[in-house]
Amino acid sequence: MLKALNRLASDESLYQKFAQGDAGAFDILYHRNKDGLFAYLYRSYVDLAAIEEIAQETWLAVIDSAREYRASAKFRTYLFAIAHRKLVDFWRRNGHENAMVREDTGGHPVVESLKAGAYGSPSNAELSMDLLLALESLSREQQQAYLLKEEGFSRREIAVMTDCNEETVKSRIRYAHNHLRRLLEVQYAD
Amino acid sequence: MPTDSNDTSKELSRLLHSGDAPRSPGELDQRILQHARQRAREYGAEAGVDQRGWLWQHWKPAAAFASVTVIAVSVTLQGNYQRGGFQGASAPQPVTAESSPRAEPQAPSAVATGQSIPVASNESVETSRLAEEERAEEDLADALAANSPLQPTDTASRNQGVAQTEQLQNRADRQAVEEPVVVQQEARAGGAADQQQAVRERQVRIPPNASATSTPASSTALLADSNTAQAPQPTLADFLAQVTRSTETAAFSDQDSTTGRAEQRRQLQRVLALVDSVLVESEPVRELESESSSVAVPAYSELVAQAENLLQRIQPGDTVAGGRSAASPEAGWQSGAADFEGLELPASFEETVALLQDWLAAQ
Repeated sequence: MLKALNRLASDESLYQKFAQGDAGAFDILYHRNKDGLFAYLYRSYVDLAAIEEIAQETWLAVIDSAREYRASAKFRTYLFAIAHRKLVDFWRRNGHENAMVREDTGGHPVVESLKAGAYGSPSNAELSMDLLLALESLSREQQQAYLLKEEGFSRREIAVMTDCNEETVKSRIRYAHNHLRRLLEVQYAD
Repeated sequence: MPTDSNDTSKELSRLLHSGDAPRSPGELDQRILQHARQRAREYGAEAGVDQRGWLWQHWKPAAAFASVTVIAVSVTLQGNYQRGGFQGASAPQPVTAESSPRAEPQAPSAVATGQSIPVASNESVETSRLAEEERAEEDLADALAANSPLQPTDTASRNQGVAQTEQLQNRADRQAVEEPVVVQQEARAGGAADQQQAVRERQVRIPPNASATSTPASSTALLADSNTAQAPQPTLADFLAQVTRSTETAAFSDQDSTTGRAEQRRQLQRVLALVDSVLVESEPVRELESESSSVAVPAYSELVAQAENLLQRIQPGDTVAGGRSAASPEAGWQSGAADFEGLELPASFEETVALLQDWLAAQ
């Protein structure tokens, strides 16, 4: 009965119940958000081992700071803001603060291969992977602004999470969009 | 690739979410959930400690607040009860003669004769209370009359006894004896004060030519209510004879007992009061200090005072006025029984007066 009621509760309510000692509330909260967070981390950095570490750090931080949570913001925003900071910390620790440039076996940037249409007629899966590679070629700020927008956050929320103003977020999103379009335009030309 | 900017954006979003994004591995989930359960136990323990700590630290203010709240509620409820707040929000209805059982006619004579006292339709509860008090006075008068040896045998006699009692009690209100004997009964229709005044205005007025030689017939109205004037009225002589017989009966039944003497004294005081009501003009009144007397006797009436003195000194076997113990039949004396021979009372009013005058002369 209690479990059924918890399934109808909001993320914020579940998180507050967990702060009062309800482990079951966090179980539901975790299963409701874990895959979305993991996908966001994967699109931000295509390295499963790395994103597992970042995801674990994110969730542990969420668990340990439950008593300090105030329901002034959505739990999902709170969760992704922590994940974004953990991601930035990871990049700083590993020297990936700038845009990642993946290279193929010939030493050529993968992004350049996308422009040349080296993969022929791509499938959707291939296009998705190409998109991820294109995202990696963006600056971290542009990539994060674009990915967070795709996760459904507003410009204001993105500005808060990335510690910048809304106009900057808008500009980053526009630039990222144009860059991706330009990179993938070759794939659709065929 | 769509050329439109919006279409391009949608297509990019579709591509971004179409791929099979990796899911959170189960191993990671187990680690995270294990840590969450451990922290949940800690949070629960801390929450319990916090609750106990709050109660421990704030029990005094909480107890004080609860006490003040209880007192305030009690005072409020008590006030509401006193104001009749729980008897409904409707305004109190005026007491009417038809609806109020307490607004019945109260005058004893009116009750006896079936004459109703008009009650105002807008009579208040205060009126009912006053009427109830007067009804209690009536009951007291009835009780006195019932205890009297003069047991009425019919309604007229009963009314007579009630009238006598009230007349004796209202002696203090009597101011002048200048008009012929009338019994006034004014049941005014307006208000309880008027009703009460009407009852109290029932007073006996004695003609100025009343004297010790007044005939018993002239005192007939003294004993009767105006509404019962048609009933056969006993004379004062009859009354005195009744008193004498009752006194003898009461005294003989238990001559040595205190009760018998008290009854004797009470009856004699009634006789003296009746005598005084005829003899005496309007003067101040004093209460005789008698253990069973509530009869008011004028202070100026030396005759009555002496008689009272005599009454105090009467003992079984004594003879009133010394040598007058030889009660001759022609004098109309009534002698007591053999064991109470000393107490002799006149059978008529004139004889009573003569007895007292002789006794005074002997003194």
